[in-house]
Amino acid sequence: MHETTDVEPIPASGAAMNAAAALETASAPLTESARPVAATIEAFLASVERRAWRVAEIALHDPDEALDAVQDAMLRLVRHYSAKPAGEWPPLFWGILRRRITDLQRRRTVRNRILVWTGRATNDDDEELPAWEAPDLGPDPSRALASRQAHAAMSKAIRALPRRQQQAFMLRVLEGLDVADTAKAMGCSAGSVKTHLSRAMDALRTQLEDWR
Amino acid sequence: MNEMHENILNGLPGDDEIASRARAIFRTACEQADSYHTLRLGLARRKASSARPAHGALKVWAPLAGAAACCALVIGVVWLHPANRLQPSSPIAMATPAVSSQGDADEAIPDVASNQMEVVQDLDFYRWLAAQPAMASATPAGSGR
Repeated sequence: MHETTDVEPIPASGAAMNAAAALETASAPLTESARPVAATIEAFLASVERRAWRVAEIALHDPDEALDAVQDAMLRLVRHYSAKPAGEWPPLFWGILRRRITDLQRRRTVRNRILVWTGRATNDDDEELPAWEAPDLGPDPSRALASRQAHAAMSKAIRALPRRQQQAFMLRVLEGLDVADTAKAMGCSAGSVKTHLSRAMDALRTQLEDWR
Repeated sequence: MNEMHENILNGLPGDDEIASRARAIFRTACEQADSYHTLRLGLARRKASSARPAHGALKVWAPLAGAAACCALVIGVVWLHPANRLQPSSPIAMATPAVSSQGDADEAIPDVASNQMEVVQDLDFYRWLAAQPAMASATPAGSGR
């Protein structure tokens, strides 16, 4: 996995800088309308839990591991930051979850290296594990199936990105954090967020047809 | 901005289109989360909400515990200090003769306790008793008459 420096802005090419500037000027359409600030920490967790789980699932490609990461992030937020103002909870929570996901990805990398060394490695990207799917009771099963396939294609495309670009795309576009909160959650500068996001957009642009 | 126009001219989607499409897929996926993981998420949230802040109790009790430890240390040092072991009011110190500041031993007045005053009174009695045999020996001679 490609990992860049957290604090210092990464050197960007001219095209990436131009695209980042374009994103900066047209940043409003990238994010949804601002979500209301939750009054209590439980209400905040209830509002964010599904999105957090989906983000972790995209990054980890394992729903149970994603659930463990979300639970750990929730516990850490309540134990250490529940006294903070409610407006600071989103970047704190997503920052905790981002670090937890990174830890799990690194642990998995080390485990795979050990398994390669012992000759028992499996390639998670190529092998789709059989998963229990709940019976679909919706009115239009074909539409639900199309949605699941689009989500799977998008997840695969996001997972193919370098880690920092993944984080920038998921926090900024999927979760809808603004640049400042994304920078806080990622532990880098706002300029780095824009550069990572621009590169992620460039990489995903050609794959949009697969999501349809 | 020029690059975005180039993408549109080339038939590639712009950033806004990518973002809106990704958000729509993501929102649908969140709404269609299976009941098993939704239930487990709710349980995880309740468990996290019932957890107590880690530093809340520590912030309250740490200064109090520190103050109590300091008080105990000061009391212990004062209590066990060698200079404070022989207090003027202790019985041992009262039994020792107090020497005046001039160091004149002859003018030293023994500082005795009340029980030792009885010993002094007893000495007076024994001194009186020692004088009694002469008087006692004279009395039988007179009575033989």
